[in-house]
Amino acid sequence: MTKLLDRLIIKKTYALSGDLAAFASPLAVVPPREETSGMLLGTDDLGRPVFLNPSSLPNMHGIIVGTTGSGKSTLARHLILEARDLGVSSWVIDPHGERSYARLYSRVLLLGADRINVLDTPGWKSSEFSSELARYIERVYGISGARFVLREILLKCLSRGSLSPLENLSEVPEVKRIYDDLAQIHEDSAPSVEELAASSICFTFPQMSSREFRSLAALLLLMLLQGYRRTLGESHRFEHMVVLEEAHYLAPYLLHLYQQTRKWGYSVIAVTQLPRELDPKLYQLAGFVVALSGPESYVNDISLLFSLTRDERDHILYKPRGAALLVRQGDPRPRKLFLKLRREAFPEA
Amino acid sequence: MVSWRTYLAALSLLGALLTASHSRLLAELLAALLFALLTPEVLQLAVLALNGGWPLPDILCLKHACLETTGREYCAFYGVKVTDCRHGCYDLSEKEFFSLSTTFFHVGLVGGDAEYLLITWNQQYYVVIRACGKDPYELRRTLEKHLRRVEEALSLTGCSWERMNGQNIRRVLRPSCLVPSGRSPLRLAVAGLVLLPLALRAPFLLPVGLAGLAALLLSQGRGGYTAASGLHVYTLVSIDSFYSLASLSDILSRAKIVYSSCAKDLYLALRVRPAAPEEEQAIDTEAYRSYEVGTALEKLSLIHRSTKFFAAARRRWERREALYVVSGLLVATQSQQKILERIGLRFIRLPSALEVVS
Repeated sequence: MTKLLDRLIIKKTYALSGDLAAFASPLAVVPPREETSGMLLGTDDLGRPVFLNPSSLPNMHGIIVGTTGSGKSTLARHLILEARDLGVSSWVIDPHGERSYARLYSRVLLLGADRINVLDTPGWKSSEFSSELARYIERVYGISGARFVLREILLKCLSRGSLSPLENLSEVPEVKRIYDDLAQIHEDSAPSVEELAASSICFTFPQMSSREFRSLAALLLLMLLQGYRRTLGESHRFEHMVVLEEAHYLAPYLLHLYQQTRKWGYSVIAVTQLPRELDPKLYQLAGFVVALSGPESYVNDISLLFSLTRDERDHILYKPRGAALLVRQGDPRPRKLFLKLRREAFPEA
Repeated sequence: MVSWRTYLAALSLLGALLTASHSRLLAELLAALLFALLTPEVLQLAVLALNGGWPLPDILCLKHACLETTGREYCAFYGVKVTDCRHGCYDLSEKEFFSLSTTFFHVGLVGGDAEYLLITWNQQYYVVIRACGKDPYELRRTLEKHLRRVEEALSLTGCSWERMNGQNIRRVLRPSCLVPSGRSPLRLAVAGLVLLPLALRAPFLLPVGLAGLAALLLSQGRGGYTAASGLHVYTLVSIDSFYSLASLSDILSRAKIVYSSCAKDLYLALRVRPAAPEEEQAIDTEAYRSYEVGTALEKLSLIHRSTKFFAAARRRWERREALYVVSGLLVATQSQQKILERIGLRFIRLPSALEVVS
């Protein structure tokens, strides 16, 4: 009886597998799986909320790329605020000295005027620290071949707890330059990294400081933090976040940092407008990459990194501000994002 | 498009009216034919009048399956939920999309002793397998076999899945977009319908009486369901693309429309059964026959019909597409239904479509 009624009532039609493919295939229906908790970034093209979940990413190191005015810093500030809600402290190293960052922090250090103790290096052996620092100073200041001499001088500085060995050699112009910059950053009685890492701080620079000075200061802060976090032991909990503006200044060191610091409970978010200036390997190591909108040549660069589809390219090429692509490690499908950033993150707020 | 049944019913009505004054017997016969042709519609109206909505049988959900008893038989449901797919219409090329999607249907939906319910609801995708039989153990074996095949197909398509528990199967078969209907004030009218041929001593009303009786039987022990506020229940009447040699880019672009505009918020359930070999053969036969008759009679409409079936036949032979018999239920807003209509899925508002999920 039921079968007879079925025949009488249910309308049947024919379909070939190609017809079903268009509307009844899982590939036409199921969107990529999305996180349901973490740091909210916005919504995807289907209107679903998109989160960055530190616990499901292999690391929380990230890269934010986008051209001037695309909203990189606003997004970085949004992440700082979201992380704060998760109980994560943060540092910002901001060479531009933007007020918008400083506004979010109760403690702001103007490097060059405010000092830190760079010779107190917990977690590092003096020889290791001086070797690493000498290697990067050589690159930052463009004094090739000086690495080993510098290492010896820096080692002396560390063992004496003072910059006097550098000062004594300051008749050499290259050394004088390094000494001048270090002297603007360091003071024996200034707070050590241990004290600085305990709180959220915005590090800024004087408006007209040199590129070398900014790079050196940022490098020292990151190296000190790297050593200090090691003293705390391994931690897979996301506890501290560093936002590094103009990250391309420190491209070589970042590569090393992203490789080494995965399991020490902190992350570095590199913000840059020049995707090509960063080593392509950095994009492989980063837990996530957010690419904001920009002109065609910039989008081409992003396309080469992530082999985007035309839709994805168009999303950041033609969409107004607020459009972004999010790529997370472990999921190569970029998400077309419409950022929904907190009001406090915007400069005009 | 008006069906042959409607044409015939209209002719019967006209005939009954014209012959009534000349031959009462002939008029009654034609009226009986008219009502017989309209039985499905009368039956549906009677069922709706009786329940306020369309009646669906109660399903008993166990740990891993749901059961429905129909007379001396059990019908059991097993299901999987697709949780993620490595790729989708958003990043695949036309060829890749077509190839992966058809692989899923060809490998997963082999039919035989089971039917498949492909359910899309709120951007989620479910495959529920339904099999009926008298022996519960045999039924379990059948369902397991088909479920494994569906899982294999999903795996080949690059999709991950999870098996659904009984409660989740129930949620998908009785979704929240369908709400139990209230008691209908027209319940008594159906009893009147059954007694109508006797009361009026009019044998030509017998099909109406039978439809009323069938409605009573169909509604026995079932609760009525209707669409939630703002939504409508539609039944799938045809898939236009079936009759055309749709290009792969056309298929992909339609899939993208479904992905971005339709998959959200709508409930689409398709009951799919692989067609029998004779049904497949009938497509080719129809193409040849209508061509031959069309050219012999110089009837353009028949030649056109032949072209349509020939396109379907070519797809079967050249693109190796498998043929399925599909019935569909759509619970959606009118605008969503319109979008689906633009991409070639024709629906009409008909509450009996809910039978698809029973």
